[in-house]
Amino acid sequence: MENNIILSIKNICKSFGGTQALDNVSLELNKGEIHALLGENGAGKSTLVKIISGVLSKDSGEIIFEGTLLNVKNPQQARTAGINVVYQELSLVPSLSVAENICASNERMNTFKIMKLSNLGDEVLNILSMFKIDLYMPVKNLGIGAQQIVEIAGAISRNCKLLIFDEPTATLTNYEIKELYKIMRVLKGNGVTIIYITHKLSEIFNVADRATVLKDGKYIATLNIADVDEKKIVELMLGRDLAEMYPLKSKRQREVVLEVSDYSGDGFQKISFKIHRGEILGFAGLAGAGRTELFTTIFGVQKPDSTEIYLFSEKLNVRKVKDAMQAGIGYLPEDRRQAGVFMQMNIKENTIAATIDDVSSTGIINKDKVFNNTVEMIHKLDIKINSIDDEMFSLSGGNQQKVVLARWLLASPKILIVDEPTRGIDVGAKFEIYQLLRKMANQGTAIVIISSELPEIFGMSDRVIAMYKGSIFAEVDCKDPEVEQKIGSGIMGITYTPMREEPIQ
Amino acid sequence: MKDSKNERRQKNVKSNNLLQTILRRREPILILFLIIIAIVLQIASGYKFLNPDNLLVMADRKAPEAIVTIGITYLLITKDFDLSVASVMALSGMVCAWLISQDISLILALICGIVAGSLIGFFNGLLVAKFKIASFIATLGTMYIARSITQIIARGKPISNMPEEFISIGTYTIFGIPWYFIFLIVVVTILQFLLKKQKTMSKLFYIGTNEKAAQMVGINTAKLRWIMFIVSAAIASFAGLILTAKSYSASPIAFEKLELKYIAACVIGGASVSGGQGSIIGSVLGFLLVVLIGNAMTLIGISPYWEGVVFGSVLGIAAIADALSQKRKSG
Repeated sequence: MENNIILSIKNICKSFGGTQALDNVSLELNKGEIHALLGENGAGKSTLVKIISGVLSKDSGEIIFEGTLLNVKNPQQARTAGINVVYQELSLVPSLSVAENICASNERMNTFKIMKLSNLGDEVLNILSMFKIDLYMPVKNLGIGAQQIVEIAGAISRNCKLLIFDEPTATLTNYEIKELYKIMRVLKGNGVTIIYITHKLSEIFNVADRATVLKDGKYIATLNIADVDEKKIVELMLGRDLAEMYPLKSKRQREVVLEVSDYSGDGFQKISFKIHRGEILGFAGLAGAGRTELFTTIFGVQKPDSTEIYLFSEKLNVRKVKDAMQAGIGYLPEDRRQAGVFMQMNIKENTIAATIDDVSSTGIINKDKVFNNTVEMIHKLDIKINSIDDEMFSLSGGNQQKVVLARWLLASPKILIVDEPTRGIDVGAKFEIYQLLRKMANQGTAIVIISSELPEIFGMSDRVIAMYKGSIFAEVDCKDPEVEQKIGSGIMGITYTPMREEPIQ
Repeated sequence: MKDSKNERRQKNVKSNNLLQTILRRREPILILFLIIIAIVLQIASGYKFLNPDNLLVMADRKAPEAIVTIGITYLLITKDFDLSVASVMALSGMVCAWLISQDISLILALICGIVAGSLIGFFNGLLVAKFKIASFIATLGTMYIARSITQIIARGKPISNMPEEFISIGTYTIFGIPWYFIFLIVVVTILQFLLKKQKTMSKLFYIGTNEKAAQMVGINTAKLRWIMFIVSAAIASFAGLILTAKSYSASPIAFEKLELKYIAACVIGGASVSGGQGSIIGSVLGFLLVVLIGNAMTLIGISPYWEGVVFGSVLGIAAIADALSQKRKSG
């Protein structure tokens, strides 16, 4: 058994500033297995992978790969050793052809910097033909799924012993996901070991042999997939404080605030739903399911094809963001850095950004109002700052997000849309944001929560809607005991039937 | 004021004190440089520089140009850029002069001059804010177009023989001080005061810092950027008219290449081509610094060929200062 182990990780520690990203993590991988690495955002999966692949250096601990101490200092060295990573963000050159991309990523095929396309190798050619990918097609003409396949083919071409998939399925279609499983099995048959990171638990039952759960940088357990069910894994991933993490849900059903019917636009079609006062409505779906497009359109960022929206039974005509805001809609954007924070402006200016007109009289901004409103929010949301005049870049991600949230609190919206409200922020701030959102709901605000983290959706929402390819696929009340299964399959475009999915042949 | 101070202490929230606020600004450094140059000039000129007559001559010549930097500053704040200002100045002067030569009333001719210049700004805004063309390219195009139209109207020759009432625009004084110098001081004071306090002007900073985020808080970014192009062109047209009157004639090659000097003055004054920064007073002081450096070199007797070296170096230093502060901010 001992010589069957390809990778052995012992007592790895890594910290960034004050946060311990990995705390004494140990793990062993068998040769030729598919090993799922599980955990919530911030559990340390990515950090661990980055250390194995040479992107980050470890603080302490050792990695033994194929019986020898592995000490890679950069991804290049890791590749040479036979460790490759396929990231969710692709690293292809869009204007080059498939073959050129594969060769360019492979030192072995470049002689005097001249690419030899004939050296691609059978394995690579097999995979590309399996997916009917034209070798000479420029990569930019391929779909995102096919691009991912090219990326994988590139890794395979480099004498790969350990292949790490970092959330490969997030951007793939159902068909492509099934094909990916096929590739993984082929690779496994060829003796390649695979580490598979995913947020979608149902996936691992289809492909993985074993799974390791990390939580808050600590090793929790390694399990044989055959011996466990999804529930057990979720419990391990979330730990015991699931009940404490998410606030109590509301019970009352109140009047309808917003009604959307047969609403279509760029990225979504024929959407109908209602949201009530004091309700938190979750929107689950994969990347590209059209959730963000739907709500940015409702918010007036893009133009819809139809305008069937009713706010308190009155037809709402939103032509620009300002109209939506005046109607009482707030929107916390998905990408904080790109669309939320004014990095080089100070905390005051950021806090009042959505209410500039309200704190002005005869066109002049009232300094005292700005100050008082900001201070009120800083206390209410417990935002950690040094000086109120500091620029936003001096704050941590969690505190920045709180400022953006404070901005919308000041606007006292009737409906607040929060898109990935806790992405990239620490657990403490997460907890506080959950409490705050529920408090707002209890005070009557209708809240729409869009999140790619299903536990967050289930933990926060009173009702959940699953979107798939631009349409609503399922709508489930959170009191339904099978809500997780129904939504979990809904986001994949599958109608839930209460039976375990058969593994794909 | 006392109330809010008490409140601050009560609520235990720190604000920056006056010193911290001053240290973050560009203007104090500029004033320091200006004082140093003024002293150098005073000594080099044998104590003739700082006398009212000399200063008045400078104010008379340069105040109309300083006005142009105001519009450019607004554009730099919203992360835009206008290369067409100098062409616009020439165009408005030429349109006005030509209409006067066609016996059209002075007031109407002046209005037409400003409208003609503002139209160029309108097209700049259309191209940049609406069609999302990079402002460098869009205004480079309109720079050539406006200059070419000026030459078409002029048929290649300057229009002179301006009537006395038009010339008086460039010579009218209040208590011996050129009216447009007083105008400059008043306007700069008001606009500087309003810059971060007036809600629409404060929105310009949001746009320049992060346009996407500005959109998401309900700021109509395209509209405001468009308006600022028109404002910048209108200001340039206004200055163009004064300068045309001052030179007694409208020349098709007037003000050529001055646009870059104005943009440089704004950057020296603390505005940044990466947006979200700049002040009206800073830009005017930056322009004053550029003017004084030229003046000082002449007085000290350095060959005018060296002016570009000195001017370019000052711009370089300002750009480095900006880059350093950007680096601090992204880190």
